[in-house]
Amino acid sequence: MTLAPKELSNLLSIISEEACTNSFESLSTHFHHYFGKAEHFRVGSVLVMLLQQPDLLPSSSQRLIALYLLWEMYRTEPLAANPFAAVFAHLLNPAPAGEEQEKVLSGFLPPITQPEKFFLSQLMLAPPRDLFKKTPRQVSCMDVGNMPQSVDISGLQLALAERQSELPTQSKASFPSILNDPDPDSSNSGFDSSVANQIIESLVTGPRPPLESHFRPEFIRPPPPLHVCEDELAWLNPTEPDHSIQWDRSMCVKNSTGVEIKRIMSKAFKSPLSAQQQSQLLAELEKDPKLVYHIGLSPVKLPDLVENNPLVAIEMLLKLMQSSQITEYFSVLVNMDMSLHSMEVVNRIVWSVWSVSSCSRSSGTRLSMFRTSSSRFRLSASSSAASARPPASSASSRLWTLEKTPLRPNLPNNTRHRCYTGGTEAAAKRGRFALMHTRSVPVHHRRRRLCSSEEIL
Amino acid sequence: LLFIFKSEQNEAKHDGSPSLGMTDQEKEMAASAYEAFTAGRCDEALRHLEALQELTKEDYKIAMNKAVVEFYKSGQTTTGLLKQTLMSMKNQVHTSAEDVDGLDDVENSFLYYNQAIIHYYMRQFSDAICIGEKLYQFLEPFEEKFAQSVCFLLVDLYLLTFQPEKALHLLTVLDKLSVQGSNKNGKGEVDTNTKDGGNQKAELAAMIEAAKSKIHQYKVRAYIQMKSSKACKREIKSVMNTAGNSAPSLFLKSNFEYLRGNYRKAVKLLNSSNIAEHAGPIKTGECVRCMFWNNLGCIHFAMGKHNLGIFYFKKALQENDHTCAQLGDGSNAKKFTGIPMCALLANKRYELLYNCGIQLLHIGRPLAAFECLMEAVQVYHFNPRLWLRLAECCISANKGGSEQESKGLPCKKGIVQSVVGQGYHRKIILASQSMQNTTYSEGQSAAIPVASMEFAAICLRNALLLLPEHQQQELKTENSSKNSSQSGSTESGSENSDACSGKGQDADKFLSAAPSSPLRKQEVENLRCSILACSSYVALALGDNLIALNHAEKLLHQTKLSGSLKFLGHLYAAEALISLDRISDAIAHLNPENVSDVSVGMLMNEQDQGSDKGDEPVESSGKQTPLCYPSSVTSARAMMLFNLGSAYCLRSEYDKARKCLTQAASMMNSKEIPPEAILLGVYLELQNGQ
Repeated sequence: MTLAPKELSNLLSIISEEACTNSFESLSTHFHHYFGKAEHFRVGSVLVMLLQQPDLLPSSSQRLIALYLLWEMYRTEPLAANPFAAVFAHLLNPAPAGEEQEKVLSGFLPPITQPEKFFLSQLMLAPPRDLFKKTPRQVSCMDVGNMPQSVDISGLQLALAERQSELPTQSKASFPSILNDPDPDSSNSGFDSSVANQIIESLVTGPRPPLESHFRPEFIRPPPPLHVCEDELAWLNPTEPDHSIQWDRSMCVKNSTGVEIKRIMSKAFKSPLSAQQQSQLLAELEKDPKLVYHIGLSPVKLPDLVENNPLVAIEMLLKLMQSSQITEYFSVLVNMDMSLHSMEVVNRIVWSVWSVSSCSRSSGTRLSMFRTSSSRFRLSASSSAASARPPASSASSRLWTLEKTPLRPNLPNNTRHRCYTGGTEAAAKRGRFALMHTRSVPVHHRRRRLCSSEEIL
Repeated sequence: LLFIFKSEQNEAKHDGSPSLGMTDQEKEMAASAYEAFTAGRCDEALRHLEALQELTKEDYKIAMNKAVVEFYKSGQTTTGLLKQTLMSMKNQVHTSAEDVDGLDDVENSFLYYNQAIIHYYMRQFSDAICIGEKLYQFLEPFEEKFAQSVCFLLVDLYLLTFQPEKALHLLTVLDKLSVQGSNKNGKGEVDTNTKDGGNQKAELAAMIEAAKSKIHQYKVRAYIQMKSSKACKREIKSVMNTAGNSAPSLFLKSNFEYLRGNYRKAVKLLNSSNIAEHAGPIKTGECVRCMFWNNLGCIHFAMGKHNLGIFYFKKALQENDHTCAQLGDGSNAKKFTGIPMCALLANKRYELLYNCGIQLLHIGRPLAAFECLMEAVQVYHFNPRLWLRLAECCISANKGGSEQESKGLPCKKGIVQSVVGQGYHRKIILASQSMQNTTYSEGQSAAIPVASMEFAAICLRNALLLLPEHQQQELKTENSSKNSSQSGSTESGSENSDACSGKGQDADKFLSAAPSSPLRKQEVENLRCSILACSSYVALALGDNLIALNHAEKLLHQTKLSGSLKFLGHLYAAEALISLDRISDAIAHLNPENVSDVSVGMLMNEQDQGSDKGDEPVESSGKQTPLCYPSSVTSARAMMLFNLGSAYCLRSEYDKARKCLTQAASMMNSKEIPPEAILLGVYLELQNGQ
């Protein structure tokens, strides 16, 4: 919105005191010579500012030029579309008598003389051609006493009001931020055009001229405080990591028995083994307790093994008891089709687990075997619950409540205990019972079903 | 069909060829190679392995062990090479896609473990965790020592990636493993008594002792990350009992005291660790001096001694640079060779830059802070709080004159921008704040990291996206009773060495904020409030009034909102509403009764800390006192009244505006009155024609 100093001096030459002897028409051609359509608004803003500052534009004829140019720039468009129409409306609007003298608000347009008013109203209407043949000075000296005084501008005012109502309140409440502050002590109180031009230049040119700024009530907007929190910085601790690349100790230790066992196992999934194969397999399992993990028994394959070689399955499951995957094996077992073999397996496992846990009461070391993983811990907790011990830890108390869910057969604890001690048969019955119960559980209750598979135990 | 045929052939090969088994000669050779290796005679081991390779080609493990020996022979400096070798071996083993039936992987566990180790030292933690978790599934078949190594590695990885709960769970497993081990040894002793059992037994006992001490240390680290100070205290004691005054344990204890606010004690502990005697970073892979300075910086930051803080952080950075120079520059260029593997982790540059940046921000040097944090955020881009800090840098770099504002300097300068001309033509140019809003970088993409408000907006958007969804809050009221009981049970559960309960919740309970400890739920909510406030402020500055209003309203809906942010929320909402031409809505926000409290601080577990700090009341004063912003309730109310006056002005209700103005002015010290307020007064007078 700024004017270059060159442009400004051109503009000032057009509206200078000396130019007032030219006719309006010739001023207009001068103007269009210097400024294209694109600059019109910027020039207009400067003109309005000058009109607002009576000390910078003292003579009536200069004001006439300014008003004329404001009108001339947009003459081809309807009057209400002229961005400076509000200036015209304001100047023509007869201020309520009495107040006018007292309140000359800074930044507001000062009142204009009668000839100026006449000239402006002529512009509003269809201006007679010969008007522009006159010079500004001639117009300013016109006797307008007998001319029609006022034009009806209510149409214009209405249009302006409509346009303004679309603007936000905030922009309507602004003042120009240039305040007139004549120094009362100053001796020279006359108009000095060179000084005035300098001042105009400083107001209008530059990267961010005061002309552009405006003054309105500002909101206080304190920036948010820095976020407060604890322990934000990174504390560094030496940890002396001792993870190191390791030698593979399983190199060349693969032996022939391992291969043989694997072969037997793959057969065991398909058909019953011979007595000799079976005993060989069981013997090897007995020798190396970790062998069971290496011979390819995954939970998915368990049902095949159970159907074909229930005895092997039992032994292997007991060996797997320490695995974290044992629950997976059990859930597969519980969900497989019921058959003589599967029931046999369940029966035997229930029996042997119970006997182990009853021993565990006397020997702490055996119990600790069951504690190496969370699943095993749950297992041992359930067995301790079955033996009607009061719940010691929160883990076992949780299990306690699980046992009381309606899913379970509602036996009082002590009877259940008796039921276990009653021997294999009773336990097997209970196992079967649980089996049937879990079948009715909807599939999505997977977690609960896992619990119930422990419950069997 | 061809495929089936092929796979059958494969199977036949697999089944057929090893049936030859290992001859005794081979076994013997393997044993002597191992012996040579453990004794550190690499060349001899290599010779054995080569001989072994001539006998049998089929076992890739021979080749792997050869690579391992060569790696050790090079002084562990050929990490890149080893990585490649292992990678090609893995590809060889797994010709057929991914093994679904994972049991086969037990065979290849060492290969996987070594790969995980390399990932660990190359800081590819997620890859390492991936492998580690796979190994963990087959923990039982492993021999104990190896199982322990796997667990330790995984625990370390979890702690490095700030997943303390997973780490704790694993530590309980480790506990059981070591108990098992010691039991077995106790039993085994009887059998091996005849031979050199005594010697071995002592060795084993020492190892078990070391493992136990290690477990305690890891536990402390986990508890520190979880900020559970009671459990931590107990573990600290065991650490001090087992590992006396080694640097790691002293640092850990210092960390603990620092978190409790016992800063002097923390400094003392740090000083007592004899860092001068510590082996250099090339040996241990850690630069203890750099850590020492860094931690001193943390302590002074917490004490509010920011200048000392920045001094120490700079020192730490220097030390770090020194270390890096020692290790040879640019490990990337040399493809991880030439440096011992453990030293690959020595560089702590990003942690230090993070600390430095936050310290600089608090000291009031936002641009320098911005530089540091921008570098840190490239590594820690999942930390929402770091993004907020970046935005705060931008904000404080752009707020310009507001410092002068808050200091209450004579503010005529704030009102009159300049005086033009003299005498008769003298003009006063009034300052206009509204111009400042729109002066930010033009034509430049906002994604280019400069400390602009546009960039702040991007940072804040990232921060908000990184926070967990809002819906949690609604659930919170539902679950509040459940949660409390659950958290209680997990605590007791972990004490009972069973942390399997409520695992699902555990993952959500903490929000990662690397490189510092993860955030707890309440901290996340506080963070959300701060982010929303900043977002609203930035949007206002950018002229995005609708967004500003949106953020401000969200902010005001937060359940645990500090008084200060509530006040700001109302102010921002009002300003946005006014810009949106909804003045009466704005006036509703500007009711001074809306402000009743302006404290910023919401120290989390005040009761907890109070009880802990009880024994040292002198030191507790060093802890951040709850801050207030603005300085008091009255000044906050006065600010609201000023803005309310402005709002009335816009509606041309000048009398009301004047009333607000005088009331507000009477509440404040005349020096503190902000320039906006004086401008408002000027405005009113001008409207009056004066």
